[in-house]
Amino acid sequence: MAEKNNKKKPNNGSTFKKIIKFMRPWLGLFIAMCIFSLLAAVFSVLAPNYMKNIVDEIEKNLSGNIDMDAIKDVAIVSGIILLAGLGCNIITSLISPKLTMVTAEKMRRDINKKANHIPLSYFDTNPEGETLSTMVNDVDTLATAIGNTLPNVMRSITSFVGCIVLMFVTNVILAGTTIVATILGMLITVILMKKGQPYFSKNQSGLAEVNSLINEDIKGHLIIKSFNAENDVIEAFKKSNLALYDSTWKSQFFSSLISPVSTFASNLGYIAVCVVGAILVFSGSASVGIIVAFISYAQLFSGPLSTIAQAGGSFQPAIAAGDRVFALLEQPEMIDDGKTEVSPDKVKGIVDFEHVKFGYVPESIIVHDFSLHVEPGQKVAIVGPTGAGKSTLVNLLMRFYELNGGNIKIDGVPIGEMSRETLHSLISMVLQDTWTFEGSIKENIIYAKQNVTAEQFRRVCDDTGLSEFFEAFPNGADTLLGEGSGVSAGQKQLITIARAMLDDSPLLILDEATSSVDTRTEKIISQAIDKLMEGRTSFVIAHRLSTIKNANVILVLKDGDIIETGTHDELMAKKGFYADLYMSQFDNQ
Amino acid sequence: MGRMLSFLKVKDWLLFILFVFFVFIQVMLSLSLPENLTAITSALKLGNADMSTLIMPGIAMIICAVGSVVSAIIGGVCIARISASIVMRMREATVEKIISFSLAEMSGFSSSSLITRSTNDIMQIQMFTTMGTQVMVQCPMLAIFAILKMGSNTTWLIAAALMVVFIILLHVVVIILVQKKSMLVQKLVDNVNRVTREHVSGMRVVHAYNGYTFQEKQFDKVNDDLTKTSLFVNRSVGVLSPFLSMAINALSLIIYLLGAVMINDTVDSGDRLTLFSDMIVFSSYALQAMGAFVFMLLAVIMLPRFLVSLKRVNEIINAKNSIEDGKFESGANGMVGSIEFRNVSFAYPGASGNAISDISFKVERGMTLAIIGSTGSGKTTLMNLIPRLYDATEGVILVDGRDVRDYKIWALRDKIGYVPQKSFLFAGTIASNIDYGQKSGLQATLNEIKKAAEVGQSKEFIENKEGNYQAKVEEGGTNFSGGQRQRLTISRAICRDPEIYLFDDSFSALDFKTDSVLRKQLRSSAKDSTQIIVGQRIGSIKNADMILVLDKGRLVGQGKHEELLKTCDVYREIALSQLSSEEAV
Repeated sequence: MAEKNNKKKPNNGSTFKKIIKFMRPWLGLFIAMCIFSLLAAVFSVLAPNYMKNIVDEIEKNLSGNIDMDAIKDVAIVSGIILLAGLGCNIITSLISPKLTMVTAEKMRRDINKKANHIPLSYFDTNPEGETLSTMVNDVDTLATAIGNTLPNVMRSITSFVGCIVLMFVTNVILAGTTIVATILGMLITVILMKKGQPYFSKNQSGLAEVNSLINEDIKGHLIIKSFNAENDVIEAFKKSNLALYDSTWKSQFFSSLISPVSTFASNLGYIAVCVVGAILVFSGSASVGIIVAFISYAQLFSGPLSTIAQAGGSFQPAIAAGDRVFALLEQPEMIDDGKTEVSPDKVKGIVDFEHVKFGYVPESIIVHDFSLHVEPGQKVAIVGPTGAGKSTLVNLLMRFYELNGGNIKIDGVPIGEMSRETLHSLISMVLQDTWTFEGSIKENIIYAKQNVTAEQFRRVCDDTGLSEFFEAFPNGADTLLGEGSGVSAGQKQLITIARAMLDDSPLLILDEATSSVDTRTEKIISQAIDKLMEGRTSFVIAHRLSTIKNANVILVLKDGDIIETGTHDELMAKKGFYADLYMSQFDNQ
Repeated sequence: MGRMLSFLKVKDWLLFILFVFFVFIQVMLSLSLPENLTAITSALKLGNADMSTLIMPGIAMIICAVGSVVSAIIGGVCIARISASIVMRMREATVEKIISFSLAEMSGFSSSSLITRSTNDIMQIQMFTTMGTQVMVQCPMLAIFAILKMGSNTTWLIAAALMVVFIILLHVVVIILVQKKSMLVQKLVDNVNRVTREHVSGMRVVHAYNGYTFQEKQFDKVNDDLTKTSLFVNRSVGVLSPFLSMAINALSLIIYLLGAVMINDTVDSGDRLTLFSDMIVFSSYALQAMGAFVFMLLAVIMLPRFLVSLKRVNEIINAKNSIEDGKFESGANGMVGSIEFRNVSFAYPGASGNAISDISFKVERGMTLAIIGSTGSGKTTLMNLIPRLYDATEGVILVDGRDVRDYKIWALRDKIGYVPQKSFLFAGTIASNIDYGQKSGLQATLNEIKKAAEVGQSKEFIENKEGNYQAKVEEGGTNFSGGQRQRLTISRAICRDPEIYLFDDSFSALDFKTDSVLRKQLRSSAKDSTQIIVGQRIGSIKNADMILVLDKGRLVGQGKHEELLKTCDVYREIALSQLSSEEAV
């Protein structure tokens, strides 16, 4: 976190403005919260001040008759002040979580929506963990600061100012005494915190180190066991753990000092009040009641001071978090959608790549001048070593990235002129990474498709061989996918294939779609896929060459360029790169 | 709780006694403050005070304040050390236990749960032991002594007691109201995390299927749940503090009022004066006692969360290991490199059916055994039984003529070089990853590491990398491509020069060419090793000395490629799916 903070110097002013702008819908609520917490603070200062009148009243008539009526009046007013304070406090503590929660909810919802409009390149360049941490932790930090810390600070500032005013009104000398003594004590706290700071940060980094070791040990458990590395791992862990112990107890010690030392600070105020007060009473310039009230002030005065000091600490990360949240919310969105409507029912499936030029970063073009004409229903296979740019071509067809030059057309309509939703409704896609979410198998297959009949669903499951697996699961198609569900990687891949079959679009992209299924299952699927591909234009990326032998066109890619094109037989006859690649799978002597 | 105390050593108990002692002193001193205040006020009241009678109590007060902060500091050192060492030992015990787990326990807990238990839960425990212990020792002491010093005025005592009862009731009600939901909050946060992670990681699929509204709906649901529940919890808990601060003020008010009435009813002026100073003393001690009490309640609110975490960590520490160590360190009669399964069946814990059933086969030194079969047919399961990552539920597995359960586990694993399906690298260097773990009598030199890298086809990219064998490997090996990771994990197994190699679909990220070169070099460099290969590509297994064909956990074929083509339908089907029929022969 600390590192991240340094990377971008947070511009406090503008982030603050953005936060206020973001919270505009709840401005009324926010103002109400501020008003009530101010009122609550006023009452909390007034209460002891007013109650001291009872003590004064008793003291005044200690040797005579106490004026019970006067006391009764004071008591009633005090009671009202207490209840009013309670009321304001309760209202504040009902509003403040509401404010926190709605802010957080809206922020999370906005970011979640935003994610759909950010170019994919953002996710390529920003680690998933960082994005997630912004979406969850940063939002939480920021919202908590708005909902909890802010009202606390408001309240503390009010109490603080109110206290000072009241003290000076009551007795100038005692007021000065209290303030000087308390601030002296506070200084000690500040010095201690400064001293403790290195241990706090050492403790944080030590903890991070130990936790990442634990993480690694658990994830690499299988390897640790089978390589007899248990002792090495435990030794390494013990070493880090011991180092952590040292910084832990030191930092804990420093933070445990804050409370006694600030008590000491307020005790100093207390003693000063007593001694100076006694002298004043002695000389007849103050009543005992005033001393009693000042003892409360000494406490009321030191409390807000430490709250403000602590809040200062928690605001720094909140501003940094806000910075990251708004940076994400303000990411440039994908280029505007086109307007041309194309109905999936009427699309024939002619695909044209015309002089396509593309690079993930404009400075390094990886597809230089790619042209290809695909007739309806043709099967195009793309092969080549890892990193040759196979996925890039289909990503461009899906318009996941914008071209740097040239054009891609479906049935003669440039894809940039359709809306993204229209384009995606024309193409079904199965990816190498089997993506599933926590939900039933059925939900995963149907996903976002509307109005799927039971018959359609059953047919897809039959065609992919999934029906057969359902028998082994306790709840069939309603079995939940998730950790420990017993659904294998291969079965998950079948689910994603079924998802594409159900989607039933005129074009099909299979990006290493069968890499996690074994060859026998692949054969079952490939029959289904063959059926699916009938009449559909399809693009197949595969490293198992046997699966693409019957393609109409095979494109052989190397380093972003097409080095060979043709059917399987033509390419084999050519005895080039493809033939070499193909033969190597039988070469096992 | 008892389990946690067992982490305390004698030294810690001594520290604890010291801690209690200094807390005691701190409490006594801070409670003497008001006594001196009384001395001052009553001196003033009696009107017989001069400056010297005021200075003495003043000095006493300063001594009390300083003494109490010094005791607090000493006590703070003690408790910080105690709690840090409890947590350190607990963390150590947890990690040691996790490392001793077999795969059965690992999947029983699930790895993500193990990670949260050993990081977050231990953090919770640490927070409570530091703050909680302090509060639990200091506050009752403070409360008790404050009450003792309050004086024995029954009327005031009853008033204070009633106020305490009121506060307790308030907390009980809130805790009961909130408990279930507050436990739920963590789960709901996890849900939001999960849906977000799913969304971000599946970005392409979301685009491809126009899943925008679907994703939004899913997210809105978990988001709403979280918002509603945590709003309820925060509000309920938040309401407590206004009541607490009101209660403290109200108590002062009540004490003053009762005081006024009592003083008014007293005739003797000396008694009246005593009552008046008693009132001042009582109210200040009552405030102290109430304050202590409120702190205790805060600790009580933290208690359930602490207990849940403690329970979760203890579940790890107390878990029984399903795999016990044997006593032999070598095979029977100097046998080397042989593996035999006799009627082996295995069911995953909690599963109704067998994952593999009634498997028998035997391989000798230097042979290559291939295992093939469709997804979920039990290939990996079978392989995991050899290094005893699980124990077979039925039947016997013999390595070098001895039941695997009779070996000391390290001795069994000494014989084995395992390459798992998922390539996992550790943070460190390339060299530390290749020369990983321990094997008795083996201390890999740089030359051996280089050799292993060469056979594992990693040499080229390692030597092109800055730092070569000392190049940094990030956690999880994220700075290497999938293919490179796989080659490094293979090199890691080769570096052990094992009797038995286990390759669990370990060539999937390699292209055919690299795959076949690697295997050829391995065969020639480790002639006598027994190799077991779980594979998908017929091309790469068809020359194995023996092929096992698994289908739904049963052995449906066993033999060489040519035989199986003739005799085994399942095998023929797999073969034909990959090769055209003329190539298969």
